[in-house]
Amino acid sequence: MTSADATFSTPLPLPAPLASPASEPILSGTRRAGWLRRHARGLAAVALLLVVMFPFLWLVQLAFKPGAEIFEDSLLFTPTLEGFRSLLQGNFLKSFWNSLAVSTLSTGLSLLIGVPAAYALTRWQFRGRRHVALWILVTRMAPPIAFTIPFFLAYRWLGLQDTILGLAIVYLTFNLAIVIWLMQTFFEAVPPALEEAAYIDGCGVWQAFWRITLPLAAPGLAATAVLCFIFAWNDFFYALILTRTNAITAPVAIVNFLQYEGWEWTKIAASGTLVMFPVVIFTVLVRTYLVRGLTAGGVKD
Amino acid sequence: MAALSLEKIVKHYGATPVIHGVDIDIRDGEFVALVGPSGCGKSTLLRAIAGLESITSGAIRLGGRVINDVAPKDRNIAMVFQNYALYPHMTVAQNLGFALKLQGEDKARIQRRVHEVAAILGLEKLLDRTPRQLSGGQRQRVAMGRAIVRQPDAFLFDEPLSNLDAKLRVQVRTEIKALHQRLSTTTVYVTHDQVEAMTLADRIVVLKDGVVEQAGAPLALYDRPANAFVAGFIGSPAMNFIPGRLHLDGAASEVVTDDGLRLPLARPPRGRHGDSVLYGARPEHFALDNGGAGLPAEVVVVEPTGSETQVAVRLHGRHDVLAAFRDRVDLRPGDTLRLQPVAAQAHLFDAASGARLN
Repeated sequence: MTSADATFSTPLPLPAPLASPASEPILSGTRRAGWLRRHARGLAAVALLLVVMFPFLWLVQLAFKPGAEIFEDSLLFTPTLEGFRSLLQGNFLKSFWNSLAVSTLSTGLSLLIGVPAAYALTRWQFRGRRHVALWILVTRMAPPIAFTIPFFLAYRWLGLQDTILGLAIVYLTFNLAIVIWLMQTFFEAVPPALEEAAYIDGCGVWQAFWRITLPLAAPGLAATAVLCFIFAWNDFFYALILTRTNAITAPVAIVNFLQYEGWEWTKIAASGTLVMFPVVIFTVLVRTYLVRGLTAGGVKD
Repeated sequence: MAALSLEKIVKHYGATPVIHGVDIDIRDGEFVALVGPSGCGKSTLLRAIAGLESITSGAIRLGGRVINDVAPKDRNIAMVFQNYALYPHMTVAQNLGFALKLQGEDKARIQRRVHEVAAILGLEKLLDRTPRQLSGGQRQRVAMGRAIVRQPDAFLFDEPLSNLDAKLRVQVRTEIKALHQRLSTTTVYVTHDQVEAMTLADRIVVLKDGVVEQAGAPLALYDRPANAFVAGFIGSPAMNFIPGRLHLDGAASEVVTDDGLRLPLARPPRGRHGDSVLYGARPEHFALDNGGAGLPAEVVVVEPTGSETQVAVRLHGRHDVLAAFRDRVDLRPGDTLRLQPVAAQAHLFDAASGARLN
């Protein structure tokens, strides 16, 4: 290809004064087309990004807008932290902290229980293994509303209503299915021969899991943890029903800004931005793991 | 180092028996190869010795101690896996030192030992690499290093050369043999490649369908195979078999095929006149006998390998056999010649049971 180009390009230089007037517009036209072709991919990506990002960017700019100008379409305004400042004065921070605590706790518990379960389901052949795995998945199939009344009544009786632990346990129940099913595929991707080699090298079952299998499944573990965290973080339904004041989470707290006296758009936008923030940060931090984790096993190493 | 003995090993997968009472005694320091076609149970047997597979009945003894119910980690056995099974998240040095680290050795001693082993195997420059940065041969060497670093009672090799290309395979084979001569550790080596088994082992155990067909020194198996299966399995190119009937006439004996070919035997074998038999002749045990009374043969294919020339011929227009000559022979497809099997080197087997008759 390159040698062919070279041979064709050598005889190209024409008598300069004769060729230049006619060829100039054509040349600039092709140059523009060439530029477009080279950057088409990038341009398409930017356009797509704008479409996808629009709701988020809109929310963020609303958060920095002065309350009085909130309904003006102009993008020209003096940014203010007024919305965030008013959040600090109210008790939104507490709900934000609650969200963080509930999500972290439920993610931790889900991994603690789900990861060993997934490992056992992957590596041990026992009777009814497939059935057990399926039952676990079934818990995720019913709509959340089906569980609300039992949860509500049980929690009132157990005194778990409006507690961080109570909410974390609810999220644990539905995150567990995710952990177990995702981690099974990640554990399957670790060759059993590596564990056998570890047994022979002197590991027990637990050591082989801890030193060999788990480190190799780490990208998957990170992806799973992020998904659990995000599911718990984004939940609105259970938090609305099972909390009142003490353990109220950020998404529910936002609703409190929609009042009879009027909707506090600046606060809604500011709190929405804050709720969005950890998810974005978390995802960006582990994005390579996330992609690798979610595609693991799809391609042979 | 220790002697290893397998006594009446039986293994069932569910209701399916895969190993039917195998007895093998391996002396301290001996190199034993388990060979057989795929599915013969050789890998299962090896994994049972390692403790990765339970046995249904029988006893595995290592240094006199029954280790049936001992966990793999407490057997003090090292194993080299077919796909190497190196830990991908560890460097070569960490891979080599992993077993010592688990034993709670102090860091300085681990490092010294890792360097010793790396020196033996020529891995010094690769210690900081991860397995994925190594070539197949280097990975193979790390896998061996991981086995020898612990100075175990026994080495187990599970088809360790099958992932290497032909040239490297020969090279690593020599390295394994040199390593064994240096360390003299009891070794069990599983392979389906009889050439590997012949070249490496002090003793070969031929398995088929979970039963030991024959065990013995490589050349003993080659020279006097106990049955037709071993005769056909050991040796490359494989032995020729020609079916016929036994003719006994006083001290003279021969095998006569149903189309009248007369195949010579040196001594009268076991069996009765008229028995249905298999006459076995290795490719190199044919003599060109153009003047005399050899068997009429037509050349089908000529395959020169340089060191010898293999000639596929058809005897009497019916029996396809392969003959190999060390001398350069000038033959072309379609040529006719006369071939004489060497009577003293002929093998005779019962046609039904396959048992050796001479």
